[in-house]
Amino acid sequence: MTASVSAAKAQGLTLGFDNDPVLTSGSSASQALWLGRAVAEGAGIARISVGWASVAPAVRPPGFSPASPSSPGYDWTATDAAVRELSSQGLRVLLNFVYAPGWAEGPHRPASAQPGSWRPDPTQFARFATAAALRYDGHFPDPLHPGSFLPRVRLWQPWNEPNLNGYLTPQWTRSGSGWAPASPAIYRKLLNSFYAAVKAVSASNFVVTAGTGPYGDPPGGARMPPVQFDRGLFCLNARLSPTGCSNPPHLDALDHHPYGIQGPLWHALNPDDAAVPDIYKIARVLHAAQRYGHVLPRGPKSLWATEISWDSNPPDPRGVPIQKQARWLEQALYVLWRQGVDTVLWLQVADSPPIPNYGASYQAGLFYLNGKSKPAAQAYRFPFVTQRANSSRVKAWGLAPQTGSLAIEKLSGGQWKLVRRLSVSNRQVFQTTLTIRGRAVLRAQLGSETSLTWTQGA
Amino acid sequence: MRRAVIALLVSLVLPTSAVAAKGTIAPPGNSGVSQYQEDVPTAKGSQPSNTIAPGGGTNGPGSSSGALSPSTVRALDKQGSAGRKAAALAQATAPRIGRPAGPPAVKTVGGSQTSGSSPVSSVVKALTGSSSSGGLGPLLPIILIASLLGAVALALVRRRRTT
Repeated sequence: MTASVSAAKAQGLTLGFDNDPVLTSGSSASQALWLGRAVAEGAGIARISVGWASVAPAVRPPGFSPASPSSPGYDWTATDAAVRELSSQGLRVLLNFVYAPGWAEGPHRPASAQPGSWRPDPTQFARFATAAALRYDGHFPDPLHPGSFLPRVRLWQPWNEPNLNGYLTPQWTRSGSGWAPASPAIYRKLLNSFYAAVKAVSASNFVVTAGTGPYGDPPGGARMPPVQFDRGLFCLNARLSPTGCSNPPHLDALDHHPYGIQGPLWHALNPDDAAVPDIYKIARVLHAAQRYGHVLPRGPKSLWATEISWDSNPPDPRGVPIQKQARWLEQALYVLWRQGVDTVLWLQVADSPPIPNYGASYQAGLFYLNGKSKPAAQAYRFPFVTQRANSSRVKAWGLAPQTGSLAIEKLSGGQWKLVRRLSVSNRQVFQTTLTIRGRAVLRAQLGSETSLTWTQGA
Repeated sequence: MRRAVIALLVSLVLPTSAVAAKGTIAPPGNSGVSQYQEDVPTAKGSQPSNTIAPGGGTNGPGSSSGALSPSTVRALDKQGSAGRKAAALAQATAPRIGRPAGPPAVKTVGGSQTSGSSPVSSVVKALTGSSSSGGLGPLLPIILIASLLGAVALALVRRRRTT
């Protein structure tokens, strides 16, 4: 047994939830209940996706001023309510905008293109971004509560999954007898106009790129592989060498959605797709862009994963068993963190009802719809993972659920025995190397909280 | 040599025709969410989504998914990214052994229904192509026997030269 008194210094890991309707809709009591649970599980961020087309008018009324947060025609009611509710619980809100109103789309949208996705106008998007950033700069009067102000929002995300034609079209354009990528350049203009607009309101605003979907199709298909999309976004060719880039992308964090077909160690099969252990491919593109000055402003950039989940069984008959869902969750956090990701948003706090069916809905919650917790809740609040380094050493990693003296314990003869003690802060990443030969069952313990047990192979 | 070993391993696990066939697999429980499905080559062509067993972890209960033994996976893993890719490809495209989580006739790509099949019949169908898609049919055993005979002949020739 080896004793130690300090946790290893490491990059942080912020957790959150993505667009869970239970956090932003339903009765006040229900929202308060779920928000309380989200915070209690250790969430620091909640992402809200807002339709630009649902805030902006379908037909611009007289006097419409798109950059004004109080312009006639805008309807911020639902967004105000969500921001107010989430902020009141201490969650940082990530405001994500997607889908343009018809008047802000490019001309001649084909019938096959998703409304709101067709060549959105970057100039109009910038005006909308200005209006949003001004409304949530912390100084805008709350229309429902005279004398108080709407909460401050600092985290901003223009668009969603711009490599999928469900959100941005066209993905490709004809080039001779083949296809040329179109969406990266379209998105670069949207991103840059949005970035300039929200930073003009406050330099402390933080812009996260739209998370890319994990899997693509061959050229001409509905989805562009995310790594190829990122290369296009950063004006890099297939060898990651620079190509012409008149206005490099501006961002603070690069986001990807690494939904896994299998567990968190499962690589995507196509070279330009990216599941959980393939974030390094995204990071490699980002680092090349940084090297060539193809991402601005210069300086370090964060890697985020704002959507990830696995459905559990129960209740989804095709989901993974609930214990496995929990293991995959905590192992995914580790695998993402190890590749440089510092912010991960799990898709749901609570399962969605199976409408229209289980296959087309998500049951990835930490809680069942009836409020009962799954093992995943424990894995989210107190992730603890081990990995064998060699025949005698095991790496242990986790995220502390509170400040205190953390014990890593090994099951031996039916008793838990201390292997290592670490001093940790609330939500601090800890990692250490243990001397352990052979198979071992390990766990972490802190105060009254215990992690799931982790069975480490020989 | 290492590449040859990997190629041989993959070729043994993977019916030749599978490389050309395409299939779609989805995150567990979300076969109806087409935007997150992965298009991959499969042994049986257009197979139902989500018929690959959940697995993939090397630690804890989330280990192994069946097509390759854990020791083979570990051996391939030690060979770097080429090895890992070979293992991933073999795992994803190998004939399904055992049942996927949940009933076999619930969700499929495009909403069509399919029924499960026994492990043995899955393997046989995939190898002989007697399923509706993919496989080399009766040609495969002939090719395998011819390859074996060729390898034996080559070994004999080398042995004569060295003696």
